[in-house]
Amino acid sequence: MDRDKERAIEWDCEQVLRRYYNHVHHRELDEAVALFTPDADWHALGVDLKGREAILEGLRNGFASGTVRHTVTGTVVTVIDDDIADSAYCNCVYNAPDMRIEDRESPIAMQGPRAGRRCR
Amino acid sequence: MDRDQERAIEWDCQKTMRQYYDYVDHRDFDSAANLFTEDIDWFSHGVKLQGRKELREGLQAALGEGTIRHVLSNTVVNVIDADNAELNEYHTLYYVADAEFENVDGPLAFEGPDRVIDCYAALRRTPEGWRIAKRRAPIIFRRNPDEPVRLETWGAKQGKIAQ
Repeated sequence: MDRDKERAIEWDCEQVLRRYYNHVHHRELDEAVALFTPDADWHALGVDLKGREAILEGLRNGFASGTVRHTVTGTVVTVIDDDIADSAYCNCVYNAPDMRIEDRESPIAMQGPRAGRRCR
Repeated sequence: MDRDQERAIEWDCQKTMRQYYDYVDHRDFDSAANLFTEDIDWFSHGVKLQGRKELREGLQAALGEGTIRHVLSNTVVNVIDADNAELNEYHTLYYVADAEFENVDGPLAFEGPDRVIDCYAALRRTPEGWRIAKRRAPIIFRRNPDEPVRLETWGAKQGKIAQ
C-alpha cells in the first residue's frame, strides 16, 4: 500500500472515532451505534457488549441522562490492510451524571476530569 | 465530490482551526484574526463580535494578558460543497489570568483544566484559503462559574453581551 492511501485510511478512521463521541455527547445514540460493525465487540469499564443492539442498550443506560464529554487526543491509527485498521488514543472524561447541559443556562461547575483512559 | 477531494477539505479546515489556536495562545492576534472572513460572526462566553476589527479587539482584550492554552480535540469536519464546510471540536482550556508564561522563570502552577468548550464553526473557501465565517463556542464545564474571565468583563463594558 502506498503512503497516500495509508494516510487516507488513517484520517478516515480518526474521523469515525471522533464522530462516535460527538454523537454520544449529543445523545444521538442510533447514529453512534451505526458507526460500529453489526458484530462489534465492545469492552469498557468492566462491561462486555456484543453487537449493535447490545451497545445501543448500553449507551442508553450510560448516556441518556447527565452530561459527558470525552476529549480524544493522541490518536494513532495502524493500517493493517485495505479493510482493517487498529487505533489507540487517550480519552479524558468530563462527566456530570445528574445535569443536562441543554436544560441549563450556564456551564456545569467542575473540578477536573473524572477519568483518563487509553482506548483501543 | 469524490472522497479524496472531501478529505482534502477536511484536512485544510481542521488545520485552519489548529492554526487559530496556536496564534491566540502565542498572542499573535493579527494572524489569528486573518484566519476569519471579513464578516466573521463570532459568539463565545456571551460576547458577540462582528467583523475582523472587532474580533481583533476582543482577542487582545481577552488574551493580551495572562496565559492560555487551548487543547483541541474531537475535530469533525462536514463538507457541504467545494467552498463551504462545518466543523465541530472541543477545546479544553488551561488558563492563568495573572501571569504571562514568557515573563516567568519556569512553568506556571495550575490546578487543572479551566473550561471545556463545544465549538461549532462554519468555514468558507476564500482567495486567502479556508477562513472561519461563523463561530459558536458554548462552555459545557467550567471550574469557577462565578468568576468572569477578561473576555466577559470586557464584553460587558463594551456592550457586546448577547444571548
